[in-house]
Amino acid sequence: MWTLGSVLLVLLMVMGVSCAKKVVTEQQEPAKAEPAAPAPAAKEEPKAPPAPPAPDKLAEAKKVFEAEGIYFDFDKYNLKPEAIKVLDKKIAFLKEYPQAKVLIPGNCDPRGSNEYNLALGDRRANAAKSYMVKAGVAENRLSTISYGEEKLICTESTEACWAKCRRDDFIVQ
Amino acid sequence: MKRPLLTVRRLTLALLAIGTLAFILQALPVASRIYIDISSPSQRKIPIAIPALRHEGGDAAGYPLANNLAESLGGALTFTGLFQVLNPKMFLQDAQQMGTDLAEIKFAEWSFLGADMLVRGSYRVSGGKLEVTFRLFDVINQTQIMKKSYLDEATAVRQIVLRFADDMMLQLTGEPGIFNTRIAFVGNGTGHKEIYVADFDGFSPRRLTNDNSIDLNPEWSQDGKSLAYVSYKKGNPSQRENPNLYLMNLLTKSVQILSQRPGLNISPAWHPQGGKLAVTLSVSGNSELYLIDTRGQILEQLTKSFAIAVSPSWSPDGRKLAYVSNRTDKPQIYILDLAGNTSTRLTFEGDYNTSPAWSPRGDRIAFSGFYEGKFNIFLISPNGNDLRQLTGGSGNNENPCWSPDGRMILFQSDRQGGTTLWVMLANGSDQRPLGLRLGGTHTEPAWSPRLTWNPS
Repeated sequence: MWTLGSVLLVLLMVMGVSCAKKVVTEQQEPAKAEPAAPAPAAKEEPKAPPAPPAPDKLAEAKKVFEAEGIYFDFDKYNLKPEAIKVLDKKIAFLKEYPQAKVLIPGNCDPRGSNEYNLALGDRRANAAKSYMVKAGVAENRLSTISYGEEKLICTESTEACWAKCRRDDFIVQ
Repeated sequence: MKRPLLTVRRLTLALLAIGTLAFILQALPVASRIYIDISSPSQRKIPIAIPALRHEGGDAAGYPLANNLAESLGGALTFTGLFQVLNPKMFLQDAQQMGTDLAEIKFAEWSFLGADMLVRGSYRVSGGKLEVTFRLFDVINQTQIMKKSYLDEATAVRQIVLRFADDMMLQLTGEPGIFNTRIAFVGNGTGHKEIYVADFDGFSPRRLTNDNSIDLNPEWSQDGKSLAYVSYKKGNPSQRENPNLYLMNLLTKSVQILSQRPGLNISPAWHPQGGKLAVTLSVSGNSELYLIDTRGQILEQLTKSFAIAVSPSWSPDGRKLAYVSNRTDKPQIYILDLAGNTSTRLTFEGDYNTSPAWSPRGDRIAFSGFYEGKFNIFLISPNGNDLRQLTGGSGNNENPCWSPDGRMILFQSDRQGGTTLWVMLANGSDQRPLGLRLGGTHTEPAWSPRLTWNPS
């Protein structure tokens, strides 16, 4: 899903392409540090040659942004108060980086039918998107996808694991 | 016939209990006789003897077939849950010595062993061809019920056996068997969920897709020639990942896109008369049921509400759809009457009921319900009466689907650890795993209609 190219593209989009020095930085940095997984996009960025402060800040913000999901109760898609707090931070990020676009995957715990969970995950992703759109984020900056119960992040049959599964992720594109 | 028919004894209960027998009798050719009422809820298994077939010449190399043919037939008949195949070790005569014709059958011996029926077969192999003749005897009435010969390639042992088993079921029940059917399901043995197909009994599983993505929701077309399914695969690298609907032609294995609208494209259910499917799309921003044609064009939006609508299942006459809606906040099963476009709630017990599957006979809807922390399979009649729990005990039992004759239910269960496919009679008896020889988990089974062609 996450290719070097798309990461480059994101960084280019966010930082703007006017500064040649930055572009050089970007070309070197992903080769060294980009993992296949979406999460820590620029953790090792400091190792790259003199990195300008802007990408550092962005990378850090992006890291924080992507690390924090929102969570739901079983068979629910309403936004809980904790989720609202997190979403408000997402909105602040999107205001600070007006070029950034975000993909919101909605997920469920493994209990229940695949089909119903696909629809529930769709609801969960759309619940976050609707809230952010209402808060002024342009709709075309937010896209959603439901993975239902197809991307479980743990497999134990415990409420602790299930609670982690019932989430929206936020991925900067 | 001086003696009372086998049927009469077998069916006393069924005659008292249900009126469906009359329907079956009407549908039968006059000459046939119902030995087995397949709609009886409490069928006693018929003890049947299948001695090794007699080798009647041709290549000596064909000799081990004697046991293979008998065991293969025994396995197929056992699968139906209607027969108890007697252990050949207790048979009194040498299978190669004993006769095959009516006059040569020692009925008293078979009766003594407890057999109500006997299949006596013979075979010859020559020129790479296998010719098998099966004779079915009624041990109690000492009559021959049927005799039929089959000629095929010498390697087509299983095919010959299954053809006879189908003919035998037609003779005994008035309806063909389910031996020329396949099951489709989702397997993740490769590390990705892909679509697989296997014979009705789980024999010979093979992978149909190679998408390296997430493939879900396989559903057979009414002619058994196409499979609709969901995949997250991308058509090209620049495309965004999305759950889209695909159609595989099983004859050519070619795949076409059915629906790739933004949002969900899931839950395919073929109309019983073919040519169109009910599906769930969330292109409107909310998951709703739609009717689409086989090119993916929307013919009609079937639901319009604020709630989730998924998992449609057609009534056999194509006039109604059972589906799942959470309009009361919890998933419950509803019936949509297409004539009036009205939805009626079907399930009221429990607060999580999903995966409805309308029986081929139309008189039952199977579904999975969540009670006391476990999913189990239930039956309910379309008018909301006769709620029955079919599975219980340990583990989760989900995603029921029906055999095309409505006698059996295939489902997924994790009661023995990894989720795999199980089968049971429609009254909940005879629950057993298919024993798929395939790694990974096996989920979302779909049973094909009777096939008029050989897809493998």
